[in-house]
Amino acid sequence: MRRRPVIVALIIVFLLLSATLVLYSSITKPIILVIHSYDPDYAWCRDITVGAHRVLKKHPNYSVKWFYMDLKNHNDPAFRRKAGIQAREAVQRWQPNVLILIDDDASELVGRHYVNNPKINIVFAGLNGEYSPYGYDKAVNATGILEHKQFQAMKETIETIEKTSKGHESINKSYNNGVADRAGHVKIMYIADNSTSLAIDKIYIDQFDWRPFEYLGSYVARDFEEWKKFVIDGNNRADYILLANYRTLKRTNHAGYDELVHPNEVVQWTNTNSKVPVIGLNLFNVEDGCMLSIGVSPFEQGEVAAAMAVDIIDKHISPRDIPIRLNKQFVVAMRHSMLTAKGIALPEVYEVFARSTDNYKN
Amino acid sequence: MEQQADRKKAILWREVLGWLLSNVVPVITYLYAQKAGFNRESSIFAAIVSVTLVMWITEILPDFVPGLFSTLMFILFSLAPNEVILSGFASEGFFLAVSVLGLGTVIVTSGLSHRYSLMMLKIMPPNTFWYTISLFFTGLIFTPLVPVISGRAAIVAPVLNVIVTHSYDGLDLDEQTMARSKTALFASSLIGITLLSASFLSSTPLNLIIYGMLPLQEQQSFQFIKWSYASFVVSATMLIAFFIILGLYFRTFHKLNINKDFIDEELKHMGRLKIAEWIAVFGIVILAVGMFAATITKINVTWVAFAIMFSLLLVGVLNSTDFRTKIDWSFLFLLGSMIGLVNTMNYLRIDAIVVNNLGWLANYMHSDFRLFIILLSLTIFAIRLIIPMNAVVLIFAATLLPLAKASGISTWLTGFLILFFAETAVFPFQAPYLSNFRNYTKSVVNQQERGVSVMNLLLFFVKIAAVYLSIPFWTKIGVL
Repeated sequence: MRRRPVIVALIIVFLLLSATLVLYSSITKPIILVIHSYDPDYAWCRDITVGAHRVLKKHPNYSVKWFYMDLKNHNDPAFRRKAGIQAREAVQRWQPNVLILIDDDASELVGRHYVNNPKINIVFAGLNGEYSPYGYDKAVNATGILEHKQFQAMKETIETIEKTSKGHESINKSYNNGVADRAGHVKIMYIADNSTSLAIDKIYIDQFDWRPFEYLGSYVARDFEEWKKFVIDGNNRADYILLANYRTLKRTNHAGYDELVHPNEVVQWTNTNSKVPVIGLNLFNVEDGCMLSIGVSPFEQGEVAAAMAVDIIDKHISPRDIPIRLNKQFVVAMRHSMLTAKGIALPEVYEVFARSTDNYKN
Repeated sequence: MEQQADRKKAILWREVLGWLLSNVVPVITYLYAQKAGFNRESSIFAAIVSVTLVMWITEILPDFVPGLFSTLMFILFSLAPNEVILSGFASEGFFLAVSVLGLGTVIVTSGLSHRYSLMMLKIMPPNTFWYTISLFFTGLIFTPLVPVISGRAAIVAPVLNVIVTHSYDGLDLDEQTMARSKTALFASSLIGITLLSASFLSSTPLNLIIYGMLPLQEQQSFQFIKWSYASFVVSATMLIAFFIILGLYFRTFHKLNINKDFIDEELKHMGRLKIAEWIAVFGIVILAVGMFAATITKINVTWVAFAIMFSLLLVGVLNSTDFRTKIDWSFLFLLGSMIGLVNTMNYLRIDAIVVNNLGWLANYMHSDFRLFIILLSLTIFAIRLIIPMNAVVLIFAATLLPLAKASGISTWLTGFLILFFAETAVFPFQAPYLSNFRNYTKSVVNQQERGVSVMNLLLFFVKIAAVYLSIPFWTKIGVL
C-alpha cells in the first residue's frame, strides 16, 4: 500500500480510463431482447433461435438476451399472468433497442404494453393470425413476420399422395381411377389441442378452401382422452387426419393429479391407433413421431425477425417503414419407414427437399 | 476429560459409519438403479451422488471434498462433456461469489467493520434496549456485506464482549436478571447475524450456491436488489416478530454502566479513516450504484462486483496473501462442483426422472402451495436435527428445484424457502459455524442457552407465518 503518489495517481487514471471505456462501450452497445412464448427445448423455439443466430452471429457488437415464457408447459391463467410480469420485468431490466417477440403469447402479454413506446422497437414473429389484436396496426414502432400455415401446400401434398399411393389402406377403400374420381370422397379432419396459437390457426384452417376434398372441420381436444376419442372417431369418418400441436394435452395420473402428456407419447398413440394417414402442419411433428409434415419454416421466422432488428439498429430504419411480411418458406419433414409402412409413396423431390434441410428420418 | 473422550468416541463411530456407508451405499444404489431401468450413465450418476450425500451427511470430510469427488468421478466415467461437468467453475455464480468474498474480506481487514462497531458503542445510549438493538443491527448491516456467517460473528462477538465486560460493574441487579439481560444481548447478536441470511443474495455461501443452481433466466431476474425486494415482506415480518419476542420473552431492559473512555482511546488509536477503509466504502458504494444503475450501464451486477474486486487487487487493498488465505476457496470449489452436478443431472435428463417420481410433490407445489410450505418447513426442521445445514440445503435444492421448474413454481422462491427454513438452529450443535462466536463470548457472557433455544424455536414458527404473509406480495409481483 505504501506507494509513491505518482504511482497512485497513475493507477487511478488507469482505473478511470478503463471504467470510462467499458461504460461507453456498454451503454452504446445495442441490445436485442428475444422473448419466446415457449421453452428452449421446444423444437419450434429451438429452430427459430437457430434462424436468428444465422443473422445475429454476423453482429458480435450486439448484446442479445433471451427470455422464455414457458407457456406450452404451463398455460393456466395464473402462470400466464406471472410469465407476463416477469417478461415485462426483463424488458425494463435490459431496456432493449429492439424487442423480438416470438409467437402470439409474447405479443399478447408483452408486446401490447410497448406499442408506440418511443424507446423500444418491436419485431414480432410467429403470429398465427392478424397483428391488429395486439395494437400493431396502429403502432409506429412495430413490424414483423406472420406465421400462416401452408394449407395450399398441404392440399397439394394430399393430392399427390392420392395420385401416387395406391397401396395406402384408406385410399384402397374407395380408390377408383385416379384423384379426379376420388377427390370428392376424400375427407380431411383437423385435430388440435386448446392452446392459444391453435385457436387462431383454427379460424384459418376452417376458412380455407379444401375443395375438391371434403373438410370435416376442426376438433379441439381439451385433454388426452378427448384427443383419443377424436382419433378413433376419425378412423370411421376421415381419410386424413391433420394435426399441428398437442403439447398442452393433459391426463389424470394414478395419484389423481393432472399432468401434461409427453408429445412423443401423443404422436405414438395417434400413429398406433389411427388407421388413416396422420400428417403434421408443423415441422417438428415428424421429430415427435409423425410420418410426414408440411410446416412453416421456423428458420425463416428467426432469420427475418433478426434481419429486421438489424435494419432497425444499423440502418436506423423505423419499424413503420419495414413492411410486415407473410412467411414464404415451408419445410417438408418425413419419416421414411412409417410412410412405407402406410403404403405411401411420394415423388422423389419430397425426399430430396427433406434431406437437404436435414428433416429426413429413416 | 470424560466429556472429551465421549466426544472422540462419537466422532470415531461417525467416521466408521460414514466410510462403511460410503462403500456400501453406491453399490446398492447402482444395482437398484439398474433394476429400476436406469441406463448406465444415470445409474453411475446416482451411485456417485449417493456417496457424495453420505459423505456430506456423516461429515467425514470437509464439504467441498465430496463435491470435488463427484466432479472427478463424472469426468472419469465420461458421464457428460467436460464443459458441462466443469460449467460451475465458469459460471456467473462462481465469479459473483469470488467477488463478494473479496469485497467482504476488505471490509473486515481494512478495519472498517471494527471502526463501525466502536462508533456504534460510542453513540448509543448506555442501556440494554439500545445495545440490544445496536448489536442486532450490527449483525444485520453486515449481513449483505460480509458473505460468511462466521465472518459476521467475528465482527459482532468482540462488541458483545466489550459491552458485557464494561457495562455491568456497579449495577444493582440480582443474578437472574443479570443472566437474562446478558442472554438478551447474546441472543440479539447471534440472531442478528443469521436472521435475514436468506434475504440477501450475498449473505451466505449457500445463497450463492442456490443462486448458481437457478436457471439462467431466474439468475438474471433475482440478482441483489430483486432478491431482497422479493423477500421484503418476510424480512419485515421477521424483524418485527424478533423485537416483539425479545421484548416479551426477556423483559430486561435497564440502564448499563459503561465507561466510554476506552472507546475514545481505541478510536483515537485507530486515527482517521485509512485509505483502505475509504476504498472499502467506495467499493460498497460502487456496487450499490452498479445494482441500481444496471438498466443504464447495461452491465450485469456480477461483472460490476468482479470489477470492484479486480480494482481492490490492483490498488493493493486486497493483497495476494489475503486473496489466498482470507477468501474461502474451499467453498468456491464446492460451489463450482455443485453447479456442475446440477448441470450434469440436467444433461443426463435425471431431472426429468426426479420430476416423474416425485410428481405428487410437484402437484402439491402447484395446486396447494400453502400445504407445501408446511410440509417443507417441518421436513427441513426435522431433518436439520440430524443432518448439517449445508447437506440439507444441497439435497433439498437438487431435488426440489427441478420439481419447481416442472410445476411452474418460481425456482428462486423454492430455493429461498429452503435457505430460509434450513437457517434454523434451535440447538447449538445445529450451527457449528457459530461455535467460534459461542467460544469467543463464552468466558464473558454467561448466557442461558435454553432461553436462546426457545427464542429460535419461536422464530421458526414465525418464519412459517412470515412466508404465509408474503404470499399475496409474491402473487402481486409475479413470483407466485
